[in-house]
Amino acid sequence: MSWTFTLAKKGVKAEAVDLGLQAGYSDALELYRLIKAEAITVAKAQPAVPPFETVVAAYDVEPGDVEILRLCRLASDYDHVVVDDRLLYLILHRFAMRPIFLPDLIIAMAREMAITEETGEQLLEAIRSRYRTGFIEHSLLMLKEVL
Amino acid sequence: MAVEIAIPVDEKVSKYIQVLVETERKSHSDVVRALLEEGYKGEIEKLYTSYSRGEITLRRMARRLGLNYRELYQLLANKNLPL
Repeated sequence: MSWTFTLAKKGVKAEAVDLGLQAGYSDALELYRLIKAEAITVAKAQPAVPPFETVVAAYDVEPGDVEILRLCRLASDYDHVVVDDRLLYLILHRFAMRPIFLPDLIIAMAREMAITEETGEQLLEAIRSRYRTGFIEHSLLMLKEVL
Repeated sequence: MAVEIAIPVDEKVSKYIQVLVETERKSHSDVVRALLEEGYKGEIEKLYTSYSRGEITLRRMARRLGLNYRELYQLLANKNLPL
């Protein structure tokens, strides 16, 4: 299975890459290189049809959040959208847009052998502090296919 | 980067500041700075509570604090506040 990643142009790319480069974050530079090499795609999300836009407006979230919702609605050929934001996860779930947490992405990549189990474990430990207790413990057992 | 701000304050606030200056034996600047920082911490806690309840997204929290997304992630990490 091949892995492809798409970033929403205005929100996520601006946050992760553009501002990251300005501030000198090394991962922003890596993302920039991956975009230049076309390993990551940057997509622009256009406004959608009124019923969808009306509901999105009612949720009253930020423009960067709206961009993700629009992109997911327009893209038909993606597997998951990675998000750690609680409210956004719930909204994406309600739209059946297949949100997953970053730990779940790591587990999926390990299961598909895109990364080794050891690397998956290292990545989960590296992001442990971001999550409430329980999430990484659970993820480590999922990685080992115990749960 | 530190910024200097000059603001007029209400007489009641001014008297409160004076009490703190005298009891804590600090300068007016230090007292006002401490009060502002307490207020800022309070705002972070309030917004984080809203986020935790699913009332706002992280991007809204970032905007309200005048931070970009990365800066907010860093702030949450520094304060051991999980996503």
